Amino acid sequence: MTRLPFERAGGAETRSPAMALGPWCWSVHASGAPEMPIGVAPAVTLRGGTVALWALTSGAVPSTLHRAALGAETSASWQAAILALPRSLPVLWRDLRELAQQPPVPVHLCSHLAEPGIERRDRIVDGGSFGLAFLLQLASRVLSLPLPADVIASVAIDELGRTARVDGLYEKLDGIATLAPRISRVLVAASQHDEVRSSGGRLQLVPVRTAAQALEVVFGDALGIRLAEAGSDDARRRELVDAFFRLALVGRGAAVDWSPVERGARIALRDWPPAFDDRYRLQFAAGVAARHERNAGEIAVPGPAWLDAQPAPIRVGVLTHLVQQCADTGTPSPDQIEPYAVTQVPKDLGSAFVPQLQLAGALARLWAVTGRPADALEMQQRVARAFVATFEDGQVSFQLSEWFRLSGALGDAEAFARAEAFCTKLDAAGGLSAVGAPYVKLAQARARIELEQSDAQTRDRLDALSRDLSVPAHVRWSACRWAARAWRRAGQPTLAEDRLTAMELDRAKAPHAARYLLLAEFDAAQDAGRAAEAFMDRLAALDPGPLTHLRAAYESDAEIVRFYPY
Amino acid sequence: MTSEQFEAFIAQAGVDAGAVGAGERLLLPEPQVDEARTARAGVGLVPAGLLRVRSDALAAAGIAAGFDEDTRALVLTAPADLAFGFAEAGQRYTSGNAGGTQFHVPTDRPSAFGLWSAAGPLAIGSIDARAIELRAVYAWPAPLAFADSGVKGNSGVETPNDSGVGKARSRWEETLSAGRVARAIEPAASREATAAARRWTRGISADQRALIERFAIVEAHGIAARLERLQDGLGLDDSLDLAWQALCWDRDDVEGIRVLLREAGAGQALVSALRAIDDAGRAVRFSWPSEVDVHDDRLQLVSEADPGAWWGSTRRQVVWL
Repeated sequence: MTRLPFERAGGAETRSPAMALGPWCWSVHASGAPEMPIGVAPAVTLRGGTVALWALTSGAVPSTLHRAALGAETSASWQAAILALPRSLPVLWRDLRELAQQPPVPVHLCSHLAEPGIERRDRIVDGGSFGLAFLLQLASRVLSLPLPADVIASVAIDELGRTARVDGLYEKLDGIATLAPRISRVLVAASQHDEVRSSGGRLQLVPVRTAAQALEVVFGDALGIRLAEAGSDDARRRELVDAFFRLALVGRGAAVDWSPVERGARIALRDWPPAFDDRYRLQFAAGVAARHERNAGEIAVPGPAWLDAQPAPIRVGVLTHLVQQCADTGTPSPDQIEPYAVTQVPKDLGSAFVPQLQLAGALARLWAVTGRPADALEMQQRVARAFVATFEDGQVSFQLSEWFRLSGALGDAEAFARAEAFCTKLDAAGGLSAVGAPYVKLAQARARIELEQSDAQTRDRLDALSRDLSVPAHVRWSACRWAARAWRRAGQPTLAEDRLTAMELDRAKAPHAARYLLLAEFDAAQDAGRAAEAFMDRLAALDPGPLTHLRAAYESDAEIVRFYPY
Repeated sequence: MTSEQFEAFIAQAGVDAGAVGAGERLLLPEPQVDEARTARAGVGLVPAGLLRVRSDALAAAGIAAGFDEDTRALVLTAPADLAFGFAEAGQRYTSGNAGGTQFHVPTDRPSAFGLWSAAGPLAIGSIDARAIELRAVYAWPAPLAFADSGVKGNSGVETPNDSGVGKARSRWEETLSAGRVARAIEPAASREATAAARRWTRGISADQRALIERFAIVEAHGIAARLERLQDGLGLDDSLDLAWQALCWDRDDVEGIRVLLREAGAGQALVSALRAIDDAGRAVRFSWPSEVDVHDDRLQLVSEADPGAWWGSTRRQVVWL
């Protein structure tokens, strides 16, 4: 005989109607547990000393069950999940609009009291911790796939699919372990994993950095299988190829995590019937995704016939990605792509459309790593001014960052002064986007250091950037590296060492950490007048694309590092 | 609970202050403000199920509690074999009204009450505007102090205070300690202390022995539930070895009570309750994973004293008798 936690009172075995919603709270030995339905996800709350398990469902709910309404913060989490899902899946399978109109209803399953007290049974659930559970519930409906029975998520997410910590996780884990024998994996935010690592008991805590990663953990091969199946329908296949291609063309910001896009495109390439146009567009998507994710991936250069057949904005967009691919990964080679790409940029940038300006910026980026930094600096200035002239201020942060960086690397104080004047004017008009501003600030500070204009304000700015958790990790790490260099040059080696120690201690937490540690090591060696051992080979192993170009263009390590874009 | 109410209760029950366990305060659920304004209409029908209540004091006496939100009453229940009675402060308790299995205690007005079995008091409680306060009552005299044995027989006397936090050992913990002495597995206990402990239950009344037996049966039910949860794969918040060690110690504590009662020719109901539990315990132990080592001095002593005990050291084979 098997009894369940909330059925033990009085020793009589009764079965709550809520038990029919899912198998989570059933004994692992019990027969008759329901299968996981599509569109239902478990979730957990803590209020006072009460940990409650809920089933998030969009289906009909018997009126005898206790349901809760969503509070303001939980409703915001639902909206974030709606926005995050398309950014976290390689392609969307169904139109979200209809599914997103009706948020799921939390249905109370059972409660656990961690200490003496009276259960708090919410009629309104509020807080951000349902975020990932909402996204999984929505994904289950969109993909028509049930979630696995052994998984629950207690993770907040934002609209980009980035995960964040939740309150009361210790107590929630205790409650899950007590109430749900069939749950054995708990998804937690990667940023919170360290602090609860030893509190899982029988539960396996799975850290997730993004919603895309969570979908991969939860659905695993099922996503790929579903994608492969979709290829058997011509219309559906064409639709999905379009979706992959469009996503790749939109740009890096279209997804937080590009690995599922790459995987999805590769599955389609492997399993779908061959059709040249489809295959090229899928290869393109896979290559772009690999570049966004890890500066890798290869894309073949299409023939002129294919390019000429594309609408002009698409053709220029594809070329822009190919040039970026060339600069960042080393393939295709510059001579394969540059001659044709240059023909697509008007001589007079004042007459260029935005995609053409983006292509011009990409070419300048390629020139910067292939031994033509002065040309690159000149072009980035022109592109920046052209963007502003067409009121596309939001596009300009990359060009301005490069303007600062290259003026520092070239020791061109006049170009730096022009960049500062341009930046001040842009900033005053509110033209610098919140996303782009940290990149610009970092490039400005590093240029000051290279131009020997670094002051206390520069060092403080770099320190602040290195601690600002709202900016991307690689920007923080680069800021930390440059802060160490600035403090060392200011005659404060101890403070410089502090920055390096902080980097060393945190290296496991950040992607690309090794790159910045290596560069910091090189800086320290250079300032001390010695050579960093096997430095260039180690850096090339981390980032082969740009290093292939730079090693071909420059002889000394110092010059290579000076023009290395990171 | 005010000090006057407390004094009146122990006078009525005929127990010393040390027989009353630590207090626990359960905050009454407050109406959810936003819910009144916004949620009801959207939520639809709310079922009339009871809210869970966790009271360690009531659980020790075998009484389960729930809270009825609609009537704002505390609902107390127990199985028929652990029947109990309810009496408000000042009401005269008689053993004849101790045969109930469910009582509703309104919480919308201040009150104080006692819960009784036919053998004597089990718990006391009071209600104020914000909370319910509950204390278990172990209505038997403190076991001997075993002054010459080296085992501390703390009287457990505790003055009630506002925080309700008791620091001293409870009468129940003292009784468990006496059981360990009686079984001669308390290393510091002398032979004289062991003999005294075994004689102790002969000197108390049949009602008092019945109360001890009731609390031990409840403890045994708790062990059964934990065994079941262990088999279900539940509740292993600590590692398996720690969970099993705690379970074995608790089973051994109940064994001590069985020995104390046996010395006075009592405890048949407890023996019956333990039979099924020991079957389950042996089943778990029979399939125990060999790589999980659960061993300490106490469990070693258990294995040596009773080779058939499933709750001994996992380094020793259980002899199936």
